[in-house]
Amino acid sequence: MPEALTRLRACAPMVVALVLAALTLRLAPRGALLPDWLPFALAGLALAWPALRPAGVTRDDTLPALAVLLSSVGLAVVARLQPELAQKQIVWLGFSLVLAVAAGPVFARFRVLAAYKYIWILGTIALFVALALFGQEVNGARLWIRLGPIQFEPVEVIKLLIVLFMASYLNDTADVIARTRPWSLRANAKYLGPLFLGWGVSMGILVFEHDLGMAVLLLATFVAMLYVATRRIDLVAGATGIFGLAAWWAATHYSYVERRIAVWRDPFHDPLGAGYQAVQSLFSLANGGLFGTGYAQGRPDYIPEVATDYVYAAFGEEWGAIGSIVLLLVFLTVVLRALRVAQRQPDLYAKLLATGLAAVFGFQIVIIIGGVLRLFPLTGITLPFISYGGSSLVTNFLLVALLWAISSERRTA
Amino acid sequence: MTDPRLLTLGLSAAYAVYAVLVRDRRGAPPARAIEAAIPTGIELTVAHAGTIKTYRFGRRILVGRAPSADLRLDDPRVSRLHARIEMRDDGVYVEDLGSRNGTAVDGEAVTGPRRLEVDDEMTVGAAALVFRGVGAWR
Repeated sequence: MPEALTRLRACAPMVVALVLAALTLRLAPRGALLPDWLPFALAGLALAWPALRPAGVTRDDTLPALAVLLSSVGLAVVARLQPELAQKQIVWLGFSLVLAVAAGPVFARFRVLAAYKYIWILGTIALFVALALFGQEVNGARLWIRLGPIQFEPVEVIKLLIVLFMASYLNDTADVIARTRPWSLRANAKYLGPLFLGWGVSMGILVFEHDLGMAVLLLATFVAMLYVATRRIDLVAGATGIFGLAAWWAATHYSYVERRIAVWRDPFHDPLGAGYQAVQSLFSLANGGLFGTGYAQGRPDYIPEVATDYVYAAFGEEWGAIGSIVLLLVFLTVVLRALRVAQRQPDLYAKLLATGLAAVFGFQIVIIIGGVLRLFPLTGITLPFISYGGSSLVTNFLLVALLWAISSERRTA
Repeated sequence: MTDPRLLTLGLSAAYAVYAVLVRDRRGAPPARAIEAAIPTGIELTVAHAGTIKTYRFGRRILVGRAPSADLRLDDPRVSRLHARIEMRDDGVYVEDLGSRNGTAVDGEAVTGPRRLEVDDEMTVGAAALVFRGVGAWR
């Protein structure tokens, strides 16, 4: 098949996604997505994205398509919740798409990234230090850095850097770690030491900066990658055990963690105070029922932080249990396709990188949705592509762009 | 249809199911195809404890005293996981894994990954390992 035709075919999933995006955004209130030409410009950019792949390869073009579909659903939800934020969100969406397209040539040679493992970990530590020095405290957590008019959330970038670091480090040492006997403390310390040091520093700082959600997310990703690379279940058990002890210690020593757990166990104990947010989100979900109230027909505005942490409750109210399940299905598709990419890689580095990106994306969804549905205590992180938030959107587009690049296979037919 | 959401939801769900179940018709992963076509490995001659023998290994050899090592050397001067010899895109490299007594190539201590030429002699404890080259075998 000629090259031009395969490029056209690569756009097919994106066309499907754009049709679905148009159907969704048609519902958005008039004027929320001004100026009128902007959505069309973004659609053109989205269409160019899968077409601009290197010649002679095929890629999993479903991934960028699903990213665009999810982010348009997110835009429709935010436009309904807070129209003034939708204005910002659509600009961030455009920026994310430009960045994803621009990063293409770099990501196409992603295997050279394996050589810079200490750059990734130094970058992580530098971002944490910047956060500690210049960070702004919002709701008791120090998460934001202000750069002129832009606020940005370094932890979102950090989660990508940690995956990059882990993939290159484990690429070098996985075989040695896998064959170290679990009870040999000295050997384990020798080979796992740098990993735990790099990761422990970030965990420590996360705990000091009161960002539990991201700490749990990074731990889960860390354990998943370690297990995939070495198949040592004792490390999984050990890391989980240490985390359990740390969580117990935090629950008894930090009042804000204690409050979160109390709210999780009984939100109706203090429905107008500490439990207000959790109770309102439960009412929202209950009000939505099976089919939902209809777009812009519910009252999710009673929930504080509804556009970020609790966006799933707002979505559940207006799109119903059915809508929420379809949304989960689309998220699951992204994770499954990402794991499929990992499975098909010939080398350990690409395999680990794809697994890590799939893990960080999947666990983030589990942690925030599980928190909103009260499966476990809520830890505030964003729901990828749906929540309002520029840093989150940019990072998740880069994550998908990297996965898409990893999925390259030489075209045979 | 009165409710515009149902169209979006139905189509999204159908597309997600299609993307997972149907759209993956790209055949066997290229990794397996390549591996089947060029099975390669490293050949080493090992002189240790009075015997000299030539072995054919895979692409990565862990040398050490541990039972899980690919090349097991029963010698107290050899660390459990002592050194790694591996095939990369541009040649075969030896790397010391932080062993107590170190690894040497032709008498020179190995600090970082070092590229091997055919017939280079590595010293691990009392053993001598000679790199014979790479070949295609199963």
